[in-house]
Parts: sequence; structure tokens; C-alpha cells
Amino acid sequence: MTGSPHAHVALLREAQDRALEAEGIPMVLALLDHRATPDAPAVAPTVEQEDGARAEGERLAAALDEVREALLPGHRGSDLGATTAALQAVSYADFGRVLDASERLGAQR
Amino acid sequence: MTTATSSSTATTSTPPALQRLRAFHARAAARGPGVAALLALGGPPTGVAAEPVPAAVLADGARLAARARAEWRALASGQRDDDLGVTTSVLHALAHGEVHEGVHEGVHGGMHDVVQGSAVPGPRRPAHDDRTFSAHVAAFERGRVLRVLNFHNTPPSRREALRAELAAFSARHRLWTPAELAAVTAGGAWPDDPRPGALVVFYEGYATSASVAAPVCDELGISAWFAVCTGFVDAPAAEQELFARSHSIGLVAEDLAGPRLAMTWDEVADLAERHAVLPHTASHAGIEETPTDEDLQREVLDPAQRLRALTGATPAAFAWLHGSGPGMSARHDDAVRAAGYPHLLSATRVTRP
Repeated sequence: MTGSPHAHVALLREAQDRALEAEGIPMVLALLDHRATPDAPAVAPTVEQEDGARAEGERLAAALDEVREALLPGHRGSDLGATTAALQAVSYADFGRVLDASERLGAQR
Repeated sequence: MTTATSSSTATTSTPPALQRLRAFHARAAARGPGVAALLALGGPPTGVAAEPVPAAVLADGARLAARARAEWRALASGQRDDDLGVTTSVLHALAHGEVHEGVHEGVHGGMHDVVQGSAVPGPRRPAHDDRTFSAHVAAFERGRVLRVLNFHNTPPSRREALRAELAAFSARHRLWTPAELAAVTAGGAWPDDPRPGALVVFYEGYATSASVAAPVCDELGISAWFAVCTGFVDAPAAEQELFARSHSIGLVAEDLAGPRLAMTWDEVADLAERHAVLPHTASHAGIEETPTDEDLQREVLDPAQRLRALTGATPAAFAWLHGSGPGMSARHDDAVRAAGYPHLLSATRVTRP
């Protein structure tokens, strides 16, 4: 526990050390539909939208796998706390990239 | 847009009861000082003739009940009697005043913030429902009250502060052993001591419970209660930070400086020779995190067996995350009962399952 913490541990520490009462807490949520027969969408997505969403989801899933493997290699799949921690780290990394983008936009103005 | 006023910047216009509630939360957020609680003490099983409650205990309970009503009027006169969250906050403010601000010195000293004319709620739920504020106050009036000083992190830098805090608390209170608690909740004799009954509880199973808290207690001759998350102790040292961060086990910077975050089982066994050790679930789990039988086995039943095998005795109590009490879920109450725990320690009550 001494020395420089693993990069993923450092990421999780930073994510969890945000001040709940004062700072935004980023989180990526899984979208699930538990209905037996979901309604058809009112407006069907285009192929490009579907492909884009799928690519985004695959990127986040890969990041989640990486963080979970690094942090909790032996974790019980039903351990929601561990899943939440991994999602917090992934979400915070994702949030960081959004910040970078807005900073770039700000620099262009 | 204005910013919230913190406890450190409370103005003189802030009602004293609200200042006490803020101070309570500031202590809890500091993750070091002891945090006081007042618990309604469960009575003996139905049909069991209880020993008479000592007059001093009844007087103390009556005084606390009056102060609880005053605190309610000041803080929560428009709130529901059956809102357990509000009851918990009112009792937090009251306990903070009693233990940390010396409001106990005289009942009148704590009454100056009463809002005259506001109502104290009457019972709105069945009489057997002991989750209401009214039921807590009624228990106090019968002398059924137990003070608790709760700790989580006990970092080495606070060793002397901890010693001073425990010395002062133990001088004013009779720290009950598991046998004394069991005797009272079974309707037996109360400890022969004029001081109010109390527990000192250290939660989670941090390594510093063994390296800091227990040695200080031993030096002071204090018998404490250690509520241990058995899964935290089981986790490999390299994964304990992740376990903690995955299960709402708060960490301070000093925790990260050591080789481990949790005690070893040898340390738990050593503690159990002089103190009460009880499970705080395996994974620091709450009722909402244990929906299946497998969850209940892992979080409620297995920890009892683990500690029984380690110490040779059934743990004196069990505590859920968030201090949930009985009556939230019949399945969960059944699991606590099946595990053989004689008491359920919650945020506002201690009961026989």
C-alpha cells in the first residue's frame, strides 16, 4: 500500500474523493429494458446512430473490463459494490475526456 | 445564489438544536472523533417478568425523554412521527448535546431552544411499531436507553485525542459487557452502577482498531465492542483498499500509509479475548444489498459462524450497514434470528431479534 499507487487505484481514489455536496459526480449507467415486449421506438435510429452508440458502448465496456481486471481480478460477479467502484473509475476517466474536449473548445473561442 | 452555512460558521441565530445536529455531522465527517448515539433499549420477551428498573435509570430516562421532545419541537415539529430518518436526526442532535456538549448537566440547560406551542407527535402507527419517534421516547421514559460512542477510523495521529475522549466517556458511563446487555434486555438485573449504561463501538475492522483503538482501551481498562466486516478481514492486503472503496468503508490518508487496511484474523481473535467482537456483515452490506438467500448466507449467517469458530462464542450482536433496525424486512429479520445473534444493534435501537 506504500509507494505510488497503481494508476487505476489512483483513478478510483480521485473519483471517490470528489466532494459529494459540492462537485458533480460522473456516472455511466447501463440502459436495460426488462419488459418482455418492449415498444418499438417512436423514431428509429439511423444506422449511423446505432453504429455510433454501439462503438461508444464497446469502448466503455472495454474500459470497464480493463479496470475491473486491474482492480478486482477475483471479484464476485454479483458484488454490486465492486461493480459500482469499477464504474466510478471508468465514468471519471470518461468525464475527464469530456473536460478535455470542453477545454479545447474554450481555447478555440 | 448563496452557499450553505457550515457548522463552523453557524451564527448566533442558528437554533442550538440545529447547531448540535450540524456539530454531530461535522464529527461524523471528520472520521476520527467518537460520534455519540442514544439507542432505545429493547425490552424482555413478551411474558417475561422483568426486574425492576433502578430509580436512577428511570430518572435519567425521563430526563432524556423530555429533552428528546424538546429537540423534536426545535428541529422537526412539522415532521412525521413515523419518519425514521427524522427520528434519527433528532436523536443525533440530542446525543451530541448529551455526550459532547455537557447539556446533560441540567435538563433546563437543554430546554432553552424549545419552540413554544409546537406539537410533539403522537403515535400514528400501531403500538407495536417501535420505529416511531414516540416509541423511542416512550422507551426512554421506561429507562430503556443506552448511550453509544461510535468510532470508525482511529488513525495513529489521534491516539492521544482518542485516549482523552475515552477516558472522559468511561468516567461518566458504565460500559456494558455483552453479558450485562443480555441481562437487561432479557429482563434481568441492571448493572449495579449509578452511571448510565453505554457502549464504545469501533466499526469496520480497520487495522488501526488493533494497533490504536484496542491498545488505548486496554490501557484505560475499557471493554469495547468491535463491529467487524468479515469480508474486509478476509480480503488480501493488496485488495483491501478496493474492498473498502467498493463497500462504503471510509478511508483517511493515514490508513493508506500502512501495509494493511484491515485487521488480520489473529488480531481479531486477540481482540475477542478482552472485548466484544461482532459482525458488521461480511461486505459492509445493507438490507437493500442482500436480496437473495445466497446474500443472506454470506452477509449474515456465515459471519456468525466465522466468529463462533474463532472465539468459541456466539457474537453478542449484529449490525447492518446504515444501522438498519428490525421491522424493515421479515426475511432479513429471520436471517438475523437464524444466525443466533442475541441482539441487533441499529442506529436508534438495540433489540433482541
